[in-house]
Formats: sequence, structure tokens, C-alpha cells
Amino acid sequence: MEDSLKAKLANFFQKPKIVILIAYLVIGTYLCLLMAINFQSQTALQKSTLKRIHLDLEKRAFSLGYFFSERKHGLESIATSKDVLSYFINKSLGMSEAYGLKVSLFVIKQILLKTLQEKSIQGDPIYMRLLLVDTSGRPLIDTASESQEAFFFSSVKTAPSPDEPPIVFIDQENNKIKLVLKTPCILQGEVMGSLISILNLDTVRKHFVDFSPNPSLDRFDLVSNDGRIMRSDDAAQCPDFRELTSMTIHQLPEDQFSLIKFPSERAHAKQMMVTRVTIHNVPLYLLSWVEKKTITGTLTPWQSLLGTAFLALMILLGIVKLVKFNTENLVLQTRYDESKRQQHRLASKNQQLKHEISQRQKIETELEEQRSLQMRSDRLRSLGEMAAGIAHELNQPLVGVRGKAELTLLSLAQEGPLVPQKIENNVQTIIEQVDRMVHIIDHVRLFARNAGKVEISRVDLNDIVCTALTLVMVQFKSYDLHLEKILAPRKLFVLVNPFSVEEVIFNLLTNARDAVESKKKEAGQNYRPDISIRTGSDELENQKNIWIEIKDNGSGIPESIIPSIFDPFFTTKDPDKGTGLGLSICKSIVEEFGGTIDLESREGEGTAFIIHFPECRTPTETDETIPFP
Amino acid sequence: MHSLHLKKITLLMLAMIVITFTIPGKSGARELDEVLKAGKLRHLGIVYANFITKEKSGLDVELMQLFAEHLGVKYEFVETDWQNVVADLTGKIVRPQGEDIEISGESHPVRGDVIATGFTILPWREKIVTFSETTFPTGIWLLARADSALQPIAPTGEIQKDVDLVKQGLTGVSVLGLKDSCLDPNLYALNGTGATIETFPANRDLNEMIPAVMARITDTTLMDVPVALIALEKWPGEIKVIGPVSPDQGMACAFAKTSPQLSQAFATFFKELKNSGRYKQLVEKYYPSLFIYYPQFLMD
Repeated sequence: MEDSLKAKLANFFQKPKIVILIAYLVIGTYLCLLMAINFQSQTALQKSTLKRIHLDLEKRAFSLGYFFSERKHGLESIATSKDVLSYFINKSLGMSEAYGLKVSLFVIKQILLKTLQEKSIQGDPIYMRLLLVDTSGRPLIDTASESQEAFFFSSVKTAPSPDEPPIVFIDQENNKIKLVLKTPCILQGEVMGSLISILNLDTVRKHFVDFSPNPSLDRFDLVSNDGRIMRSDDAAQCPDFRELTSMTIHQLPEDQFSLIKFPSERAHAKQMMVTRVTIHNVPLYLLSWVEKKTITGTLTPWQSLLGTAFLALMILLGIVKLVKFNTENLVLQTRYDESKRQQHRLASKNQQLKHEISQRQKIETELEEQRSLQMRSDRLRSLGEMAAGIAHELNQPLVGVRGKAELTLLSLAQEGPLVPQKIENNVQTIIEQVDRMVHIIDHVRLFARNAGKVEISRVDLNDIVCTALTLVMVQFKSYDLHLEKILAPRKLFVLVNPFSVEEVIFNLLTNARDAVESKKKEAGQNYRPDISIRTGSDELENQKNIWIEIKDNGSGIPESIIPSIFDPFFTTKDPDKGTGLGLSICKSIVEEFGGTIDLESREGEGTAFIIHFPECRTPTETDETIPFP
Repeated sequence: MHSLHLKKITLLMLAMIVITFTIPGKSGARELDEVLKAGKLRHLGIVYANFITKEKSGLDVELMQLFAEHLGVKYEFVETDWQNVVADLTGKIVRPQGEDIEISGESHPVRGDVIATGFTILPWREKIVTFSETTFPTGIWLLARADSALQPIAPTGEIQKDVDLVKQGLTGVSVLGLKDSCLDPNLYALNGTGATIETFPANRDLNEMIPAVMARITDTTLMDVPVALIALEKWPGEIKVIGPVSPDQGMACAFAKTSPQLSQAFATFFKELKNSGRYKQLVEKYYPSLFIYYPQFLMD
């Protein structure tokens, strides 16, 4: 059971489509998981960023609170210093500036100037101005230079109470906000004057408010309790908080960010995330504001999620395409590799083939040479076969020549000088016989030299047959064989090499002779061998053909060996009787001239070889115009 | 033989005595050439406020050191006191009699070439020494304890009127002064004010006069402005300034009448020092608040 299940599962997973589908599912699940994690991360990141900003804000507020605390203490220490008190003591003693008080003021001024110079943060002065004023607000000491505006603070006119701690307040004079620290100078429980410091707002902003590791991300502002913003001049980057009322700012919750839209006149209204933190012991807030899109980006988390989903889908499709592409690529690559291998194999085979071809060519050349030799040998053998005929043919004219010559001598001996005419007749006969011999010898020479060559000419086939027969007739007679010649009544022009065709005819007649001789031995005396040679013409498929038939009533060819009869070296004769090349040579000669050679044979009855050549007619020749021999 | 020898010795000694007493010798401060010849400038000074501190530094010490350098001689500080400072310069014992002086017949060894010690220019002093131009502005204020019933005057803007106002309140008040100095009550016509004049022992440090007031030894004390300013910084809330008892005064360096060239040499030197601004820096170094009260000083 389990095995079958395992087998089923194994079978199931072996199906490629299933595997791919599962792979896609896994990838899809993975991408969905990534999207979900990304969404969560985005949300968490936003919250974390806001939290970080708020934390940073609190730290800054704490730093500022500490800073103001230090300033208050500093001012207090000056206000309670021996030098300041001595002035007020001396004043209380009734001393005048003309006689003694000036010194105190001078000393106090030196202290204030020293404080002005020494109190700095990284080279930036903390104080812009220090003053000692009396209860009416009249400056007793002012560190300001003569070029600076005279001191006049409306809020300072009010005499502070002895219990009033050093305070920080904002004074707005001529639309300039000043950050002022004031502490009373108390002598014996009575307020004698006030020590006032005007803080350098730029230094405060630079070192506590404006610096930010991410100025593009978050910005800060100092705000008074009543909502007045101690803004920088960098108005281009700061949202126009004037659109916010002081109440609005005052009502902003301290522990969270509020989203505020600015319906500004600018092209795009801004959405700002704003929060504030109170600075300890001073009537100031630290306001933090950041553009919403800086936190959330131009896309909301949901938009981002959808975008991510779309992206995931595209990735998935991309993977599908890629897989498909890779698969096709792989297939192509495989095919390419295979074709390369095939090419190599082919090249190797080619090389092998070339080698074999060259070997074969070499062998064929040798074979051709052998064959040529064989053919020559065969031809020589044929020539040898023809020798008797040739000898007989030559003998006859020689006998004639001898006879005429003897006759002439006899006539001369008997008759005395011969009549010129008779001499001329005898000599003419001798010349004719010699010409006949010359012709025979030339023919034999030409046969030996040209048989097998390809030079062709337009010849009458009947002439070729007659010439061939003259060479074999004597032989046939010697064998007591009857050779019947039936030639076509008209000329049969063919485009062949006459000597090669003579060779063919000679070979076929020789085979016929051997066939009838063989049968004669078996058949006994009642057998009458018969060999015939005929020529004629016919028309097959609109092609005029000339044919030669060489027929015998010999032993015939067994049907089983007929298919091999034209094969080279195929012979049924003893090795000394034949090379087996005769019929092969005949076939090649015939086919060389565009002809065909066929045979009809019946074992024990005889054989007929039929050779067809295409008739060679001039364009004007017809059956009627071709002359008769 | 022996008696003859003895006679010779006796005669020789008598001759020396006669020469010593008959040939007029050089008495008084040295002149410029003598200073140059001696290669040393002897500076007569009294430890007094920031003119000459206990550490033998101060405004007048640096001033004299610069003068010696100007002359190309060495500098030597010769400490003296208010009783003998004039005699140490002139070789004459002088006692003021109002604006006049009384020269006693006693001779006094000359110990210095110049006095520079917050030495106030007084009429009687001018009769016996030659003062340089004012090297330091001053005046005399009346100081009292902070809890004194005597109240500071309201300035009128005119120094003499202010002086009169002060004197008007001195009935039954003890005033501590120092004879033969700028703090001598006789110089300021306090006798007719109804105040009880008390004289600070001459052998005591002048700087102890104010502590004497704080110690209730006396009600008030005369004090010159520079010292009063320092005292106000030093003891804030313990003393107070009632007002002036003198018009504006000046302090200067004093030379013997027999040293005009030396005096002239100093005048030249001091002019250069003022013009270069170095003297003002020197004053600000030791009396930073001076120019609050005397803003016109060194403005010429």
C-alpha cells in the first residue's frame, strides 16, 4: 500500500508540469510573505521614525531646559555676587556715583563683559547683551555698544518680586523676538534692580534647535507658551506657521504627532506632522514638524502594498518567462551542442570518408588499372582468339598474292614476256590483296589500340557487324559452326566507337560459340549448333533505336545466375578459359554509348543477347532518306 | 723720632678734617650726568596702594624701571617712608608749615635720585622738590564706616561745593589723618569744621588707616581717591565715601631742585611714554577704574 502510494507520488512528481506548478506556488507564497513583511516593516518603520523624532525632540527639550537652567544660575550667581551686591550696598549707604559707586559699576561691567565674551558654545556667544537695571528699568550697566539700540523693555519696568525666580521670557520689539533672561538683584529682602541677559537666539537655534542629523527629515522650532514661533529666516523651507493660530499650537498634544494641513497659497498644500514638547522651567515649547510624505513616502503603506503586489506579480511572470526562456534556451543549447557534436562526428566521418574515398579511389584506380590490364588482357585474349581468324584472313590474300606472283612467273617461264595488260592485271590483283592485308592488319592494329577508347563517331552498325564477322567467320568455320547474318536493309547509324562495338560483338559471338560447343558435347551428334546475328531498328517511347541480336541455341544460362551475368569477374568457365570480364566489359561499352544490353536465356535451350543503341540521325534524315547499304 | 712721627700723623688728620669741612662737598640728589656716571637710578618709594606694592611692583615701580631703561642705567628701589622721603631725596629735613616749609639744619644722607610713590603735588612740597607733570590724578575723600551716622553728600556737580558740604557734617566727628602727607588734615582746613583731628602714627602703614575706621578706632579717615577706590572694592558694604575734602589733585614724580637735567630727562621720557599709549596701559593695569572718575586724564 505504502509502496504504491510512494510510487504514485514519485510518478506524480516526475511530471514536469506538476513540478513547475509547485515551484510557482512556492515562489508566489514566498513573494506574498515578503510583501506582508514589507508592509509591516514600512508601518513599523514609520512608527519608529516618528518615535525617534519625538525622542529626539524630548532630548533637545531637555538639553534646552538644562541650558536655560544654567543661564539662570549663571545670572543668579552674578546677581548675588559680591560685586553686584556691593554696588547696591554702597547705593543703599547713600553713596553717589560721583564718589564711589562708579567703581562698583565699572567692576560689574567688567564682569558682565567677561561673561559676554567667555560664555559661548563652540565659539558662538550665548549672550548678545547683559544689563543691570534699577527698579525703574533704567540701565545702570549695559554691555551694548553705542551703535546698538537703547535698552527698553516694557516688560522689565515691572519690578520683580524678591521671590520671583530667574525667568525666561520673550520680548517682541520692532517685530524682533528676543529671548530674555531676568533675575532680580535682592539686598536684604528688597529688590534693588534686575540683571538682564538677552540670549543669542541664533546660538540657541544653531546648537539646540536647528541642527539635525537629517535636516531633510525633521525640523524644529522654538515656540513661546502663547504660540509665538521664534522662527528662523529660512522661511523657504519652513512651513508658514502663521497660518496656525497660537491656540492651535497650544492645543497640540505633546505625546503624539498631529497631522496638520497647510492651505497655503503655494501650488501644493503641505501635510505636516507636528508635535511639541515643553521645555522645563521656561515658557517655551520645542516644536517638531516633518512633512508627512518624508515619513510615509509619496505612497501610503497600502499603496505600497499594492505596488509591491503588482511588482511581485510582474516578478512571478518574469520568472515564468525566464524559466520558459531558459528551458528553450536549454533545448536550443542542447540541440546546438548536439549539432556541434554531430558536426564533429560528421567532420570526423568526412575525414574518414575522405580517407576511405581516397583509399577507394586508389583501389578503384588500381582496380581500373587491373581492369584495364584485364581488359587489355582480355582484349589481347580476344585478339588472340581472333588470331586464327586474322591469320586466316591474312592467309587468303597472301595465297592470292603468292598465286598471282607464281602465275606471273609461270607465265613468264612458259609464255615469255607477258603482255603489259596481263602484267597490269596481275599486279593490280596483288596490290588489291596487299591492300586487303593492309586493311586487315590496320584493323587489327586499330582494334588493339582503340578498343575500349571513348572516341566515337557516327557509323553504320551493319558495317561494324560485317567487320567483326570477318574476324570470326574463319574461326566459326573451324568449329564447324553455322553463323547466320541477317542485317537490316538500311543503314543503321549509331554514335559509337566502332572498334569497341566490334569487341562487344566478338565477345558475344565467342560466348555463343562456347555455349553451343558445350551443348554439343552433352547433346551428341543430333545437336545442330546455330548462332545468328541480326540487326534492326525499332522505336520505343519516341526514341529510335538500333538493335543487334546475337542468338544461340547453346546450353543457356541458369536462371539463378542471370542477375550476376554482367558482374565483373563472374564466370562459369574454368579460370584458363575466361577472366569473367567479357560480359562486364560488353555492358560497360554498350552503356558508355548510351545503349542497353539485355539477355533472354533458357537453360538448355539457348541464349539471346540484345543490344540497343540510340539511332544517330541528322535532323534531316528520315527512314526514307537513310540510304541503304 | 717717635714723637716726630706722631706729629706728622696728627697734622695729616687735622688737614683731612679741615679739607672735609672746608672744601664744599656735593650734598643733595644727583644730577643726570652723575646718574649716568653712576650707572644707576635710585628710586625712592613707599609701599603704598598699587603704586608700590609689598612685592615691590606697581605703577611707579614700572614707571621708574622704564625711565632707567630710557637713561640706559640700572634701576634700584630704595624704600623710604612718608617722614623721610623728601629728606632722602634732598638731603634736607623739611617740615611743612601750612603751605610753607621749615628746613632744619640737620643734614640727611641723600638716598635716592627720584621720588615716585603716589606722591601728591602739594604746595609745600613744591617748595623743596621739582615735580614732573601729573602722573596720576587724585583727590582726598572722607571715608566712614558703613553704619556711620555720617551720610554721604549728594554731589552738586561742583567740587568745592561738595567739599563744603562734607565739612559741614564733620561736627563731632573724628577724622584720621597723616601728618606731612597728602592726608594731613592741616592741608584741608578741617580744624574749623568741629571735627576731632586724629593723627595716624607716622611709623605705621598708611594702608592701615581705613581698617582703623572699620575697627572703630576713629569715625572717619582721609584717604586719597586711588586708595579709596581699592578699599571700596576690598571692603564692600563696610565703608562708605562721604565726599571730597579737597579739590582735584595730582600725583607726580619728584626730583631734587639740584637735578634739573634729570627732571628734564624724565619729562622727555614721560612725554614719549604717554604719546605711545604705554603709560595709559600701565595705569589701567594697576588702576583699571581710574578713568571712570578721571576720563580726561591722559586725553591731552
